[in-house]
Amino acid sequence: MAPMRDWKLAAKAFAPDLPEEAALRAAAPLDALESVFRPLAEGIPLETEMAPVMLVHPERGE
Amino acid sequence: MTILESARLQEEKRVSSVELTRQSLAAIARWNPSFNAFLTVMEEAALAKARAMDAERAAGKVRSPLHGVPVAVKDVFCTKGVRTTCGSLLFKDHVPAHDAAVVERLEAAGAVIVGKTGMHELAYGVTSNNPHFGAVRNPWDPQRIPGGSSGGSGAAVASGMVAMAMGSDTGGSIRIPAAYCGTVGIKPTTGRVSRYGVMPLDFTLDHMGPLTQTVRDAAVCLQVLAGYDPRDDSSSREPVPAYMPPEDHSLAGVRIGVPENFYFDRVDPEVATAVQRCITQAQSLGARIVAVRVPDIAALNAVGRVILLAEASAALSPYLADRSRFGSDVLALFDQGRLLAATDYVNAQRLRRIFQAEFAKVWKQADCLITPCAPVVAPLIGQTEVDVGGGKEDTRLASTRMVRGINVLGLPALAVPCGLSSGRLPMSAQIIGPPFGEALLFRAGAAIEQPLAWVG
Repeated sequence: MAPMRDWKLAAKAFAPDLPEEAALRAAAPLDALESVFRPLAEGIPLETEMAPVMLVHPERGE
Repeated sequence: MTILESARLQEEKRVSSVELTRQSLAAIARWNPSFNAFLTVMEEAALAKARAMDAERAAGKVRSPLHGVPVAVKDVFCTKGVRTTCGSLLFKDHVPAHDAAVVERLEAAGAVIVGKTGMHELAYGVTSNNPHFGAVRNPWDPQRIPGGSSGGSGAAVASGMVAMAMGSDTGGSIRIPAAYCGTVGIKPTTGRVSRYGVMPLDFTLDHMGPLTQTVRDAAVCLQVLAGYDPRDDSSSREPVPAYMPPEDHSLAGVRIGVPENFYFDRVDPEVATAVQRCITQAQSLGARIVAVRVPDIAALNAVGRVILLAEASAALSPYLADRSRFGSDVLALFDQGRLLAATDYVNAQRLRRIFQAEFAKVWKQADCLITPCAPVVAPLIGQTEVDVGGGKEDTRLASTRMVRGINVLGLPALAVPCGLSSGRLPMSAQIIGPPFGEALLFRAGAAIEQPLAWVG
């Protein structure tokens, strides 16, 4: 299984403009979410597609 | 007064639309200083529309049961020439050039829109404690939140300012205020009601629906609101059935599923008892009660949170450079969304498909499900944690955990009042159905609802 993500490091890397306090505040709930979401994501069968469907003919709803 | 009562009194010529509208405006003037339910009151336009509706009725034309009835719309719905703020400083002076599809349909049905209701900033939260426009307050106890994000709509309907107010629901934002304010609220199936002209929070989770005093009024409104709209890519061509439930309240032949897992695990005992009373009542009206196991709802909620965080941050990213224009709670959510990886979002949408397939199996055992709508009664304004199930829980997570996953699945769900707690606060049941199963939800909801009489 892939390692859990370190959201504090992610904040520094991807949002360097974020004030430190805001980065910490953002990281805590993502840590909690990570423990549920990451194992789920790791278990998705390869052939599973995304839920939203691209419409080839949007004017016909198809 | 309900929509159907208003319609009947107009038909019997005992009241005019102008009189109803003046009553509504007077109620707003009386109660809005206490509850802050309305951001904008459209007095002049409403009275003009009411006069036109009276003239039409006198000429023998009645458009729908909403003809001449005062209603309100959340300030997330664009209204041509009328300020639409989305509860945000970003749009505090925004005056749209067009109406939302929902507004068009209400206008065409003869409804009289008296104003725009307050909400959680950008529809991104459950308290409606808005840092820019003030806290919306719960009519049952003004020290408590009305729920959100459609808190102004909940407060306006609960206090009788209007018989119906439109809400939007991305992770429970119609059903949570309905539950905390003691009103009915329907989140329809994805694609049932057009999103055109609604300021977006999340492109794949947003739903539009009415909050009303009774289930039958909600059916009347959805009849007007439902239908295909080519301007909304998610709009469905599924035919719109008749929604009004039968008068006899019989539930003979209906299989009502009661989840064995998740939904009753951490719930205030008073709420659980009230919902159980609804289930018993449904059984006494002929329903067959079936115990069912549902997919992992905590996991489903996590999927919903990843989708919402990512899509909302993407939609609002052009505005995020100036952090001073956001409340701190909303800003924290946008910051979280910015950090998520693209792979997380893609995988959340893949998990969504897996959960949709898993949940579809539930409908082989039951025609609908009954659950609590919120595990607790309305929290106090500023209360960040609630006591439930022998522990503390974040107010936002507690308020959304019964309802958020249903948006991920796109299923219809109805919030129905089911009594008052010992502290005289509303409690609510949620009825969940298969795609486009709204008619059955109204049938079951009308049979179990316990309309609450708010006295100001």
